[in-house]
Amino acid sequence: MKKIITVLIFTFTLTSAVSAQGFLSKSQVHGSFEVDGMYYQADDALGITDEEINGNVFGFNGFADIIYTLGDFSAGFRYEAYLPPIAGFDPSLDGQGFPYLWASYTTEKFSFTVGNFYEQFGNGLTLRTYQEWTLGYDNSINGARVVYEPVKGIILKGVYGTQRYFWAKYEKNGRGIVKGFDAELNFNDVFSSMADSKVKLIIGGSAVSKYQSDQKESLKLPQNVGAFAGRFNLGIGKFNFSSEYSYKINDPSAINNYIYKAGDALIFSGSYSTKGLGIFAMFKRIDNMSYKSDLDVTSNALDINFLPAMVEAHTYMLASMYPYATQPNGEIGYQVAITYKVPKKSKIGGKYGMGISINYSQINDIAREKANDSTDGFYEPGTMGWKSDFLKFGDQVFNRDLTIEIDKKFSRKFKSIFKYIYQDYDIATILGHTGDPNVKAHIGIVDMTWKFTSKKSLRWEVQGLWTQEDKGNWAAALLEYTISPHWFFTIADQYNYGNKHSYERIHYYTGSFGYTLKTTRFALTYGRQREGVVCVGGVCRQVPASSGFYVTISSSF
Amino acid sequence: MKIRYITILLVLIASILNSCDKVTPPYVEKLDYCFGNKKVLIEDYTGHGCVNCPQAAVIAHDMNEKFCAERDRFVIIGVHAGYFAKPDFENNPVFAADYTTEAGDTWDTFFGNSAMGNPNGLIDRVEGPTGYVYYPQSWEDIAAPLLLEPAQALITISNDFDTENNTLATLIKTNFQEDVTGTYKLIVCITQNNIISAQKNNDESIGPTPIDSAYVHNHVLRGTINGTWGENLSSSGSVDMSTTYEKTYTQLFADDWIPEDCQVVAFVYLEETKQVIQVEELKVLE
Repeated sequence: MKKIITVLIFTFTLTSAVSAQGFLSKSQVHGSFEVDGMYYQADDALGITDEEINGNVFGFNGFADIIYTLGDFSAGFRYEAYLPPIAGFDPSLDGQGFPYLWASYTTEKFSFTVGNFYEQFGNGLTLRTYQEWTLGYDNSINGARVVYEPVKGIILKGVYGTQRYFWAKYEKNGRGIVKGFDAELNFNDVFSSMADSKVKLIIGGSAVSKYQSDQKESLKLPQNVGAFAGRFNLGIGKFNFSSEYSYKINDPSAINNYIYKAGDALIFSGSYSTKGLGIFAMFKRIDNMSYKSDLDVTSNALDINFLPAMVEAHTYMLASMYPYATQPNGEIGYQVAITYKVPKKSKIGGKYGMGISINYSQINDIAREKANDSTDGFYEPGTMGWKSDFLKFGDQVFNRDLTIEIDKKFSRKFKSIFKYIYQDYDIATILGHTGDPNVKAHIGIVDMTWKFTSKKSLRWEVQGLWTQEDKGNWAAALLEYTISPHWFFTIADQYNYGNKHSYERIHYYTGSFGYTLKTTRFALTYGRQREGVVCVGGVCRQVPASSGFYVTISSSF
Repeated sequence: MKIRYITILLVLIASILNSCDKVTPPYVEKLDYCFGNKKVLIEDYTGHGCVNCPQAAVIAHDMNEKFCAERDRFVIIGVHAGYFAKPDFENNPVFAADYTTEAGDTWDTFFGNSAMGNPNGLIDRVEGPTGYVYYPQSWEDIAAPLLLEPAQALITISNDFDTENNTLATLIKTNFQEDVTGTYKLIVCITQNNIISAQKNNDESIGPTPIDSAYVHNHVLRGTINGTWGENLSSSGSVDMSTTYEKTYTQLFADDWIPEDCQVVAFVYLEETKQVIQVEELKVLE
């Protein structure tokens, strides 16, 4: 609360210098709100009893984000409340307050921010702070940031501060202090001779360091851990290539079991794009690149860097059952995606054309072997951990995904999407089901939409997932009636008909409706939520099975 | 203005370039954890439906060996509480057993263990930045500095078991080693080893998966003798270094409490913080 008062006093003091009339005409306030509420009920089929709920029948997540702007000055805050957090969100979020407070002064060449801020260097391999509401994730830095653009095309950034850790205040000898610097040079902006060139080139580099005092008696810890990265983006006509390599010095932590080997990461991607055709390929390798500002934290918090995911992000009910979570201790893989638009009025394309996309990705463990140095030990605390050939794939497949999608419009009123997915998923490593074999699943999806009028439409999905592993086969269906732009009504069911245990052959049914008025949206859902995992960008949280009402209200101005 | 910002950036660059501590082997610093009289309480919150819990039990068990092979520095209580500890006869008859206790359920609710997903535990009920609950991977880190502290109090236990009446009489003596302030409480409880019963498991190195029908449950909390939160060592709550606090408790054993497999666990904690300052354990029958 003291922080809020400080920001308000600061804002008031600054604005008092401006005439009241000018102040009112130049000031702007923007904001957004969201509340998500869950009412739990007992459900024998899911094994949820009144005894287990134990009176905790409500879960509540909510936030309000307010931004005030006056000329070059802006300030804002975010209020958050988790009273208590909805099931599946980290219980450490329990509480309410103002975790995000900031003030910023920005001119054409400079920007100076104090308080909380989000920042990203390149792809984030050395630093990325962000907030993801659906994960309950926030690793914002509380400190200061300077951005300087001496000439157009050169951007220099510096950050310094400590990261948010739920509601815990920073204390001396607690979590680490983060400092970082990034520089980016856009050749086409800086050099006039390249202004109109077909070759577009941007290069950049970053350096980040965290300081955390050595509080462990048993290990000799590095108090300052640095990470460095270099990157480029090269466009040549219809081709584009992008890459970033990052290196981190010894950083023993709970995530890597306190080993001392250096970490590195490489991302390389290339794409070709022309009318009707797009080709994208990517290679990624990560080796011991978890980088947190507290070496003992294993939960989704205090990440300094971000390791991008490299899989198709599935949104359909059954296709999202086995989402991939990036493995920071090591993974190597590639992805190839091709999209092709069959032209209109062709034999296959018909009157409206047809879209085809094929996406294949594979991620394996890196090939590891004993380091054979003086520290001895494989993957053991206080050792080098392992050594690994840079381009060698390990035997263990973490994730393999083949997705083939065809979208076809048959008439002005009728369109559909057909999708086939094959997944090979290491449920033991990713979800911690140690000893379980990889899940090999075939998934088929048909998604059809019929437009009655320009505002009324009916969409239905039929899905099937077939696998011998984990919980066996699933079927799902969804019916959604939309009256644009205000109303939607949906009923859906996921049925685990192939479960080897008859008592687990459960229907996960839901019914929901929603109303949207301008920027305000209300939605109410009743039904069952199956146990699973929610992932955004390779960062995941576990969601327990639940039953009851779910309401969400959001608005912005 | 421009110079000020550039200066800030230059200072930042310089400090980052100087911010790399390359550590050279050996990385492990040898400390003598056999020295000292402080014992640490590990409360392993578990349940027979929790597939990862056997691994946590192994971690707790191995900590004694790891820190000091010559003598036990840890006392373990296996608290069966929460969703995974529920009897589940309807879905699978092998999980009909109920090892939950009134004290365990109350502690679980208060400290928030099962709400965070088992397995997890409390280490001397030390409160960290996000609460009392720690996942097994960090138990060692929390426990290590505690072992190096001198014990604020010493506890001795004397047991006398009446086999005819199936009743235990246990004398608990607490002697403070330094002047302390605050309200100190004593909890006395019974734990039991060698309970053979089904347990979900996903680690083949520990036992059959996914269900180990002959899993050996150790340190299972059977109940507290003097209430869920224990009782004050002195009538006023405050304690004196020169006084030995002692009290005898009697406890009738239930039919399935095998005296040969049971222990008395006694621990003293500061009520204001809930942190345990000393713990001791003694078999009911030697």
